[in-house]
Amino acid sequence: MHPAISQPKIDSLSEPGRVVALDGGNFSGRTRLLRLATGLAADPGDDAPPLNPGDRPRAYIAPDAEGALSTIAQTVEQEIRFQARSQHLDGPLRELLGWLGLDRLHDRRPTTLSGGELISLSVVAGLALRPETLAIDCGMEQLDADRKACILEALAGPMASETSSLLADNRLSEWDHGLHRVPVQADYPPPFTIDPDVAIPPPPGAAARLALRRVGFAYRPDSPILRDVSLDLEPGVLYHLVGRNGAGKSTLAKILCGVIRVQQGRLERDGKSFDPWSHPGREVSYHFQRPDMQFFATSVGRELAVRPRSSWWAGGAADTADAARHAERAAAILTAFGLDKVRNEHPQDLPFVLRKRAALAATLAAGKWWVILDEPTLGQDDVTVAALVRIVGRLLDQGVGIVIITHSTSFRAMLPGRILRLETGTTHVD
Amino acid sequence: MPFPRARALAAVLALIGTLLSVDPILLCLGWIFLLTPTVVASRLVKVHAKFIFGLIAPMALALFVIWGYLVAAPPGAEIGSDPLGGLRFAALVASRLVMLGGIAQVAVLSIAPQQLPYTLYCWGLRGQALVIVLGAFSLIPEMAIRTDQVLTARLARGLMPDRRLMTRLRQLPFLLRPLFAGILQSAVLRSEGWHQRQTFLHVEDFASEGEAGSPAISILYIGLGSAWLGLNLATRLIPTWMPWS
Repeated sequence: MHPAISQPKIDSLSEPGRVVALDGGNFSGRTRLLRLATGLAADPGDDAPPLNPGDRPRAYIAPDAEGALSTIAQTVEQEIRFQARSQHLDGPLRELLGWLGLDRLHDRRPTTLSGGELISLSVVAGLALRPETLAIDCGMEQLDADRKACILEALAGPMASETSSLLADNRLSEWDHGLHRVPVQADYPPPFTIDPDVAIPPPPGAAARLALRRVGFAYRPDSPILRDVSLDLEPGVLYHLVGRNGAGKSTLAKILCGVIRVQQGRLERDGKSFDPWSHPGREVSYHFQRPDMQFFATSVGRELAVRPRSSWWAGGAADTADAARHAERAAAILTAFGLDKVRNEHPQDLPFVLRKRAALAATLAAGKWWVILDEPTLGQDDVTVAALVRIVGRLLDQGVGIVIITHSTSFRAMLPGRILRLETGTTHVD
Repeated sequence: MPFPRARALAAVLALIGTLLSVDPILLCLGWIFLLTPTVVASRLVKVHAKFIFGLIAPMALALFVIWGYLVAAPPGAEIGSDPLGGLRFAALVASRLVMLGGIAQVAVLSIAPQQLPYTLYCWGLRGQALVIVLGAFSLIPEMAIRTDQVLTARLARGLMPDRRLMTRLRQLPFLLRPLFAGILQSAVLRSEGWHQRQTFLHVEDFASEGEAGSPAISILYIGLGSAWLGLNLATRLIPTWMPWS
């Protein structure tokens, strides 16, 4: 199934000071190419080629950069220094750190960073090593336009003059500023395709209107991340929650689904006050930006089949009927997302593109009238995104309320909706 | 911070001193006047307090009950013959554990993360052994992160109706497998990253100027370790040396 990747092909990509973008779809072998070019084994867990003391370091930044965190470091500053082997961060790198907004986060715990901030951290630490090759696998898709431009400038500038930079990105059309593109194509049809024509049964019950009234939240008292956020969310409407990396988009989503508790203001359900923290996940289902944060079952099929029960002692005919409805919905979603072939696989064993897709499918299978999709297109190629657009459209037709957090302008253009812009903690509705 | 080798030497001296000690009062004084200031200076108060109240205090209580009340005699003596001796033995064990744990905390947990590879390197660890020990350091935080993630994921899917302790405890069977699968996956990814970035091929890079250690603090640490060893050695050789003896 995997495409054969020859050494000359890898060597031809590498040229110091040049930024090469691998242009191809999912399962075209881009990740394997990037891994091999940075001295890793083609697949995670296999034995990597041995290192020689004279070799220069290389860095591969996976789509989910959290996996590369040392976990030993307590702060962002310590993490950068650890990943960068305590190399001195010279003037330009310190400047880059400032442009990416990481300097003000220096004493934050690395695990509390947003997806985009983690990618930025990995890039700075990677550049500090003055590597022979630096590869970013779909990480740029999580960055806002300013950060993307900033990193691209750094990769093409003097601080990476001795580094071959390789990028795999599914949204190249959105930001291709004169990149050297190399087409990567597989000689077989894509093995896992989304089928948007599969009928997905609607969730049980009825949709409710949700509202936020002057909501505020701070991870640290001195720097509130959300201030006076007020929103009205109507079911059956698509909302795009947009804003810079670290603006509080994911935090707002976690408040809505009850993962974190609102500190100021209140939430309403059909005009009545409600506290998602007390009943987490009951009203809103949240698809995490990092799919690995979402899995707890031992197979993809089980991940989708899990359903909340009304109570621990629930049983009887009503519960059996509910279980049957859930199973029907889960089976339809599994097929729609092209995951039938991997239903018995452990989610963690899948490549990133399928992990993300499985996490998305599990969120929808939960059968809620409100779903928040955090970067649903991450790692997904244009064909998959087009199919995803159709699935989202059908859910909206059923009356499901959907909030999408994405940096992809093309995805937003394909799915017109109301824009909720988060700026310095408050929202503007466009 | 002390130089890595000075840190190891001071810790070894202090540990030997503690193991030689036979006087619980001296151990308590050592904890108050030697260890506690070092713990404060190393910013480990919270960790040390957790160790004391979470582990040592319940264990000490159990020791006092067993040796002072149930056995009512020190080891080797007839049961019920010497309750005070039993209490003294319990106090000695508990105070030794406090000191041993505290010294280990100061010696290891006060190392800055970016200094950890170089310190372990200076302590003689090389190659795969170094990677394994560093991997072990990342295990506990990794478990905490992963546990939090699994619980959050279950919350977000409505699988935990509330946050009560009983509800959390019921999540344990669902937690174990993803916890270990996640830890293994992270360990593979992390070791791959360390390998390609040659993190441990050039461990000396971590010893950047100004952070490798301070001569004054190194001398102070070795001095404290030596003083503690000398004090305990003297008490052992001349049992009547201390005023309370």
